[in-house]
Amino acid sequence: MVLIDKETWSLEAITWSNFASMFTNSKIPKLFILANPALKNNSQFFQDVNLNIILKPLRASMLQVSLQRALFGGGDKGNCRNGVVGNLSLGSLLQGKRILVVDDNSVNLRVAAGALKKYGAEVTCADSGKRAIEFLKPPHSFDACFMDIQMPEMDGFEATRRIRGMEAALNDRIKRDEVCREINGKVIQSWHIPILAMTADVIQATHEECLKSGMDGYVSKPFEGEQLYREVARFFKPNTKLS
Amino acid sequence: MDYVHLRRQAASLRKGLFDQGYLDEQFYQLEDLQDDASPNFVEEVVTLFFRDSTRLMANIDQALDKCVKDFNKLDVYMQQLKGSCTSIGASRMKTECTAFRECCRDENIEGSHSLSILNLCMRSFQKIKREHSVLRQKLESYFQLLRQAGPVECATRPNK
Repeated sequence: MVLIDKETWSLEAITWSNFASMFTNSKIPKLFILANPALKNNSQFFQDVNLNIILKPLRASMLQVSLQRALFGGGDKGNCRNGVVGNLSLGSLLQGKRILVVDDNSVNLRVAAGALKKYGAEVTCADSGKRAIEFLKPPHSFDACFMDIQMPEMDGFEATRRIRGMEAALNDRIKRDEVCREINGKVIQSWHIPILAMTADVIQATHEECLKSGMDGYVSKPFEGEQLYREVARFFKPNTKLS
Repeated sequence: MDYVHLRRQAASLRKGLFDQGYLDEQFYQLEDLQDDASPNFVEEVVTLFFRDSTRLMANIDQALDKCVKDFNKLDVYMQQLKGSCTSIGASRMKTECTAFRECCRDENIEGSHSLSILNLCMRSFQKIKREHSVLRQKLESYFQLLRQAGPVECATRPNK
């Protein structure tokens, strides 16, 4: 592996792309370029698919994911253009997924929805626990839900408990063959929509309560790229054939 | 119209907002979300923020005016406001919101001083209002400059 800080070495004779192509034909060493995120405006550089770019400052988790993708492939020639764990990575997980985002704060809702849409998700917004329950009463066609936990009328924990209750009731009937298992051409043996809590204050107690109420995990609000990727990757497999 | 000059002015205003701590990295995230599909995303979210925060602050104003000593309620409002600030990267406002919430929490420890706590809250709230007003004015100027400079490209991002 070779990691080069873009700013400490100005390539004048040849462009970065040409330089990088010297490495792509051989399997090793793998070349990584460390770049200053402020330069993302220099779109030419960042769009170049021959370059494995990792944004500075270098963080262990970011490095891990970048190396994994570059060395073991997956997605677009195993290249990573990092800003938020490679837009390609989250894109491959979220593309086409139907996501419900629940938050009573309209600003948070807009930003969260915008972030998920950027990765290709089809986002529906709900501004209360009550609305969330209406949307997630099975059968429905959502693939995942991001739920704010601090909502005035009905908090995220309560809403999740009720959703799990509805799912359990339906799953019972499915087991007893009382209802059809098929929805939209998919056979669903058992309903369980992944619900991730969105929380501004991430503390241990929150984590335990999330799990107790039937949530599948939590992410901080606003979204933080690597964490979002990690959590979402638990439910969705990368789609390597993006249309 | 000197578009280059206008764009430079906008860039300089924007840089100032970051340098002086009015905005933090979350604002970069918003800019990242702006693209051809959502060409006015940043301005839309900021507009939404000011509408939402003005409403919240009116509620808080009312509660403080009536000397409502329900510090839990004040804290809930402030948590909402802080949440919005965090979402758009309104850094200085966020700091003042945190300070306000600290005042509210103090009440729970020494209940007998609720009147002095209320005073602290009011003073803290004045700071929030000031930050809110300054940020609004600066961002409004910024977006106006961008509009005048023309839709050629999204605000170019100068070096940090």
